[in-house]
Amino acid sequence: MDLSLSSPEAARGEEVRARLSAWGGRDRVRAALAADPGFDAELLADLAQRRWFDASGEPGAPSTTQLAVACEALGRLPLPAPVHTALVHPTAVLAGLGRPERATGAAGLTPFTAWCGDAADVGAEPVGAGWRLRGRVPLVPYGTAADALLVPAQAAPGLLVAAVAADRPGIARSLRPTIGQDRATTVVLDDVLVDPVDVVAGPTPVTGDDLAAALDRALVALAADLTGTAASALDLAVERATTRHQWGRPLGSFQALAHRLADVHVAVAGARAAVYDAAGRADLGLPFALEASMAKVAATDAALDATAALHQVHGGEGYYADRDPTLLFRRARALAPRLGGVGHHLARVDALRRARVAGPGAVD
Amino acid sequence: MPMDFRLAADLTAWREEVRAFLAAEMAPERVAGHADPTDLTGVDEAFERAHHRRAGELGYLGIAVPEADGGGGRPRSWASVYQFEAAYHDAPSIDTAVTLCAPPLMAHGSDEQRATWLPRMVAGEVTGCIAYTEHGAGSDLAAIATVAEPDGDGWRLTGRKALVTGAHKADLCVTVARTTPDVPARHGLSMFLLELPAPGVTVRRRATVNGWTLSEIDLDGAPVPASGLLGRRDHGWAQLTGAITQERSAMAHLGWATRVLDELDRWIDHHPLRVDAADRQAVARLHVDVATGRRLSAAVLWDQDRGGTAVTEAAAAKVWATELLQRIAATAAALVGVDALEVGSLVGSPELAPLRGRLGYEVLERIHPTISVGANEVQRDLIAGAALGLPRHRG
Repeated sequence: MDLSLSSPEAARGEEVRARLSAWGGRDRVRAALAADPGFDAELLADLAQRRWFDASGEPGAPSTTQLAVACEALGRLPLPAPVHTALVHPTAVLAGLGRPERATGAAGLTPFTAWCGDAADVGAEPVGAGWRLRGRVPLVPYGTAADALLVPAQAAPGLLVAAVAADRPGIARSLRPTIGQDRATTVVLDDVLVDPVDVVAGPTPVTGDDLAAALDRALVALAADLTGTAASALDLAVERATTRHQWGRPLGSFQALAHRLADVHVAVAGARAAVYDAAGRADLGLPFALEASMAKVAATDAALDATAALHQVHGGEGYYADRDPTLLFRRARALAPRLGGVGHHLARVDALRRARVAGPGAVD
Repeated sequence: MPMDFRLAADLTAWREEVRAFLAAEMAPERVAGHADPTDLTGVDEAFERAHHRRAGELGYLGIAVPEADGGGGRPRSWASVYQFEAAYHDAPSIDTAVTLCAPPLMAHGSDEQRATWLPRMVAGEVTGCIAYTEHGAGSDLAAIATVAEPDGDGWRLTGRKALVTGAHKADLCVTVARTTPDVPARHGLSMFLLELPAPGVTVRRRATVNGWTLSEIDLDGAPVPASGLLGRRDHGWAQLTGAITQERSAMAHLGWATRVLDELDRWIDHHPLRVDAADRQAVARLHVDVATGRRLSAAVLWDQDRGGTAVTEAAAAKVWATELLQRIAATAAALVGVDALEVGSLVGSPELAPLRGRLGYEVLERIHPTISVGANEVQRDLIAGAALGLPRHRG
């Protein structure tokens, strides 16, 4: 057993925190959210070039633990930017489905290729040597700003993953207002033609399970982001509970509130342990799909609870749009259903647990 | 190296040995005829003492006691792993003399006291209990009213101790009494070693909700020799509240949790039509929570093995594991339905009941772990203060 973070991993965390700190704090976050395109493209390009969010696992890419540490820093701010959509998910998918050469390069696929996998309902029919895509992908983060779309589509024999330019005929994008304020864009594909050169994986033999496995590292990264949000929410809540006085004493001196925050602390500790157990197993070459799903569940629960507690502690003043609690509250809810929500991952835990034989009392 | 939650290879290998031992010890044909639902262990005293001696001979009971005291000298995580396995196998070696009485003895005992008691505890030759709580002093331990009046070189103890586990079968009792009256509550307490049975000591057993007994101990001028003072006179409070005296770990709770979930999984496999997708998700969530509990405990073991006290981590693990046990019992009972009302015991349980009556037992049993060994409210106070730095409260 070794529960310490090694030097390269801890150092990556400091690097990312320093870079984000140099970019700005929550005032800059609010400014980025308020102006189109809703994120800082220069910062995204810089993060892409550094490969801190490259989930391919290829030479030069970060370890899963380093990826998690970096994503935890994102969640703490929280940084409004298509880091998962443009960097983590595409690199994970392409490397995982056997096309790592398409994943190398500054942003996986430059300039901004958006993964369009969450709740996607797209079918692919053969047309000549290529395919025709038809369907809908709801609420792709920052989808309007994407230059290309990486779309999984259901063909008869299996899944097809195609990379198409966002302005290809048949693609309609509509910006929707969402809790996450992440310029979420619903993409409708109406007979969009795909050439063989656009196909990056499948349709045989790519299955839904193959895609899920390819995204396991991205799942850990997402859980890490949620953990950062949860931890940051707890810190802010404790700060408020310490400094805000009513009836002549700090709010945190009231037991009900202190206990609520103690519970959040335990949940955050559990979530972080789950994330780094999954990341550690990935880096040790052990099966980690089960742990990745558990991490998503634990981190989602922790983030939803911590951010709700944050609002409760901040009282009426905290309900204003220009205050910090809403940033973290929205972030937690925006990420909760991504790559599958809690229900989906509990079902996956059930299935994977039965498949993996573990002895009784296995603390492993 | 990345974070690695797996146990070391030597501990993993030892665990396999322990599992084989415990499975053999608790084999139905072995336990048959020894059921005793009036005891927390579910087995009679003769079986328990014989089990302790066998486990002691194999070095299991004192695996983390220093070699100088006759123990195995292994890190504390080894003892915690044994606790998990003993709980999983329903073996009566969780509340042993080592578990209950060795920590204060090792922390505060004289060389003579350690030499007198530790080797025999490690060998499984003696049983123990701890008697701190009183009717007026539960979570507020400073309100202890039992007095220790000087009598020659020794003392005489007078008072009444409450909610004592295993007093009826204990050879040694670690207790606390007021040696200096008329001073602030925390300044006049002392700890004592009281051999049982003893004159002036009456143990009265009372049935709990789940059928096993806790004891009240009446002390009527019970004599304690000078050699019975544990640690320093009037330093009992500091000794009691020192982190080192807290030995019961969340690992036993996680062992029970894992056992019940394994039994539930078997029931689900045999009753697939009774279980829908939502039920499977609910059970999967319990498995996720057990895994979280194991990681929280791992953080405690990791720190303790390096000489730390992991106070807030232990509090977090205890709160998590005890409340998880309640969720498991409630979820499983809801899933199984009316049949889950049938109550069995840990051993010798009705064959025809679902999970052999284990769920009825669990629902009634898991009421108390959130209360005992530091009520969860107190644990949350500790987390709020020590981990979060929140100001002390008064209500």
